[in-house]
Amino acid sequence: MSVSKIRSGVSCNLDNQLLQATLPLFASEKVEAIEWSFDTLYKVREIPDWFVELLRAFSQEGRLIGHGVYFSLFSGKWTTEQQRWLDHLRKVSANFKFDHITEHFGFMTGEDFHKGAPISVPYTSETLAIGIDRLQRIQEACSCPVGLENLAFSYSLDEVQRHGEFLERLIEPVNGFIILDLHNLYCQLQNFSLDFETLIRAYPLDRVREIHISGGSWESSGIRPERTIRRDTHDDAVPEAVFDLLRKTLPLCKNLKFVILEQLGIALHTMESQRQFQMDFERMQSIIHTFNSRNQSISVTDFLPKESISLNEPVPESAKLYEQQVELSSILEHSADYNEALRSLHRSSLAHSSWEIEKWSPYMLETALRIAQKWKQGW
Amino acid sequence: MKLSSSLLQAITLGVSVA
Repeated sequence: MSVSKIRSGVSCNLDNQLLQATLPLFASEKVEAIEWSFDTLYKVREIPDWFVELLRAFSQEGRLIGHGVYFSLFSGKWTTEQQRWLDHLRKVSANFKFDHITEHFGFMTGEDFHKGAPISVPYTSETLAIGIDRLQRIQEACSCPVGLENLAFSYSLDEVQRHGEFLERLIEPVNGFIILDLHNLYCQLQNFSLDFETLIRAYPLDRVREIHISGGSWESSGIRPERTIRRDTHDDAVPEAVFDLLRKTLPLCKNLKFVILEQLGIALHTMESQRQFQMDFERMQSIIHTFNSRNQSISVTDFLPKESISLNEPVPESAKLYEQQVELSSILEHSADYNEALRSLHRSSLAHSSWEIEKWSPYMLETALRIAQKWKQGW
Repeated sequence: MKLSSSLLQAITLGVSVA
């Protein structure tokens, strides 16, 4: 147990526009931590020396955290790409000291390792066992605290209400933590007409070590055009409502250590959008500094495993789950519209199964189609 | 966090020349 102040940080990747937007914040010494998606450099042939030096500078101060994108935690099949991802994490962790490593909840819909987007899986003992095994492998590779991020997307209200509890059961064996993404939470509050006080209590708040804030977008439903869906697209300014959620959530998370502002570089191509990003950061930091000044000592648990982890051999897999994931991915990526996807799902092996497709919200199935088709060619 | 002026210069140059 140690005592710390909450640190304000930014997502920091090898992206010109994101770095251009962040540079004035670095120069004014405002950035207190950076979060690097260490598995997104697969297309880059050479990492500039200055980027390595930037990572090292934050790493040496215990202010570098890693956020994976592509691991596909719940894939029913254990793949050579996942083993390569772990080998890569092990190498990178030997070169940089990460304060913690995180990944996304869900499985990737893409046809290969670097395509698709994470979407949810049934909350069963089988998926729980696979998720726990994969988290143990990540922890063994990086030798630092490991956490998972709550998903923005859910198929049904029942799934939204059970997400926090399932996350807690997943991370418990590695004594892990969660990233509470407040824009993801905002999406669920809006898309399922929930109130903050009820939903926030469904999460293990003493397990929150990191918070994300970001912007997103509204999308009209094709099923009923007057109905809008909130999407976690990371391509706009942080909404006022998310700053409000941050103010409300800070006092509830006694082990919080980092708050990170996320935005995609593709949305930072104008001076105006870059200035808005800087103002969002300054506003986020102001909220955190105010909270820090009123709360002198924040206890921080280490979130390291309480006992040494022995990895499962053979690696737990589920051929049936994998087949269902491939089938679902194909339906989502290739259906022309919601009605075609619905017909295909009811003819598929997911019908009358633990996926409970019969309970899926029509708007969320439509959203799943849009997410899968947006990212099927990769990021 | 304070970064060295040489690192800030290197990032600025690196980003500006893409």
